[in-house]
Amino acid sequence: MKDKVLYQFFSILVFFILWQTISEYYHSPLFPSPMDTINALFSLLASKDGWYHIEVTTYRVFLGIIFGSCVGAMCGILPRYSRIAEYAVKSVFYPLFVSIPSICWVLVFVVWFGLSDVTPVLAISAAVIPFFMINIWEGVKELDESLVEMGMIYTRNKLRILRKIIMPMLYPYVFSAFKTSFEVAWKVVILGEVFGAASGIGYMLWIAHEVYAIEYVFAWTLCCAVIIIIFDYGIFNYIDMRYMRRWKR
Amino acid sequence: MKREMLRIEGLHKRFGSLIVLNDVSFNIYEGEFVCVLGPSGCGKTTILRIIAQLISFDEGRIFVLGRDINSNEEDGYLDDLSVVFQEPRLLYWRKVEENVKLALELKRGVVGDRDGATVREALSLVGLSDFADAFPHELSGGMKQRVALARALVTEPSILLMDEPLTGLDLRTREELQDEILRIWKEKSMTAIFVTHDPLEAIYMGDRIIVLSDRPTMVRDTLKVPLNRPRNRHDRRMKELESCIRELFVLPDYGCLEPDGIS
Repeated sequence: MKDKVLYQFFSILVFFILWQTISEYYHSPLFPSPMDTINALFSLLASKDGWYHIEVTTYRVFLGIIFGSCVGAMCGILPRYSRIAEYAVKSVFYPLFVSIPSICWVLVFVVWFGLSDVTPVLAISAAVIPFFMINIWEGVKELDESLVEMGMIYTRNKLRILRKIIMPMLYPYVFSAFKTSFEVAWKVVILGEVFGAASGIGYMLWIAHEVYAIEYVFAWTLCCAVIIIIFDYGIFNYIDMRYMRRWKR
Repeated sequence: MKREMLRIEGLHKRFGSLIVLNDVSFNIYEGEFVCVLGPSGCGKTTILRIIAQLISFDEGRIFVLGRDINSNEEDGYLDDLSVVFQEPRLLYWRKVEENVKLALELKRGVVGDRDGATVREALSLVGLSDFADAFPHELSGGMKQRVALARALVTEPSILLMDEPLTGLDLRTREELQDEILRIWKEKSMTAIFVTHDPLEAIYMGDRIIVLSDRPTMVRDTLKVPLNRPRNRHDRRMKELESCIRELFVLPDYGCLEPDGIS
């Protein structure tokens, strides 16, 4: 454990040394040093405005994932109950959603909804739908039917069986889809905000880029990376270790 | 005259071209412990799954407490019976107590505070009060099957169906659970249907034994076990009856057992 922390610290140190060396070699405002970037980051975090944009982007990420997960989960579960749905998901919806680049969604939604919350949120949803669809579909295929049959001894209410037996069996698949989607959603939300929003980290990145404030472009990028790392390695890992263990046989 | 709990008339079932059940008929009365005995793969489980309405049947009629189960009263009918499967079928993410509670949650949708006491009572009935907070993977095979039994009992069914619930357990656990099931059956005054392929187990457990033939399955005979309870596994007559039944599986004529009641 101690070694792991030491290695991580050492890796981060090497990264910053490399960054510092390159920035000193170029010595250009177009390649700010780590210190300039960190200073810019602190100035962002010291202002209410900076936190507002972080909050807005995080809110859009979660809203987009929630909406996308509902649609994706439905597409993943429906094949269990209908052959037509299975064919539609397998041959039409999954290939369609997985092959369309996020930028295409963003451009279409900008045209449809203009500069608003809707554009990045829908772009995220469209991007994460295939992850939920495929993960939950895999989960549905792996369902332990003997447990479902056991449930049918006590009730024929399909919703109750879905809620008490099928959904909990799918939790690990939902969690895994959520984890993957979270990383993707952060990449898509930035894109969506660059083109289709008037607030959020992506919008601020665009503004910083427009005025050649590259240290702020780096600072916002670092901010995104830190948020993803906090969620991925901190919160999700904790949830995985603390709560998801009981769902692993 | 005892009340008729279950009546099966001319049951037919085929899977594709394979005829599994061919004109199976029998009745079961209140408070009886009936063993359904037949060779492995003959269709015993199919009969049980049909009674529990987990699969449909092609021909015949089934009456539970006088109600024709084809008459779309599925949920009402389900209140009267419970099943213990061959495997415990426990939800691995739920603790023992939560697994037992599941039966009530599924049946009623919501469970109240009073149900907690019912669940604890069911656990104490099967001797697992101290393991309420354990997860299924922390239990032995016999203990898991006890949890499954508690789950089946917590809904207080009139008829308990058991599908070879002791298969795969070691001899000692098997015998312990046989006694436990008999004790609970007596205590709860239930009607029990116990599917098994082991003649000795059927003789030890049952008031009556429904002996099935190999596929296509028919009822070869219904035999009344002429031994008083509690029974002794080492009783010479148990062994004699066992060999008689074993002969019955291969020979149509038999000497020492009489259909539905012998001396």
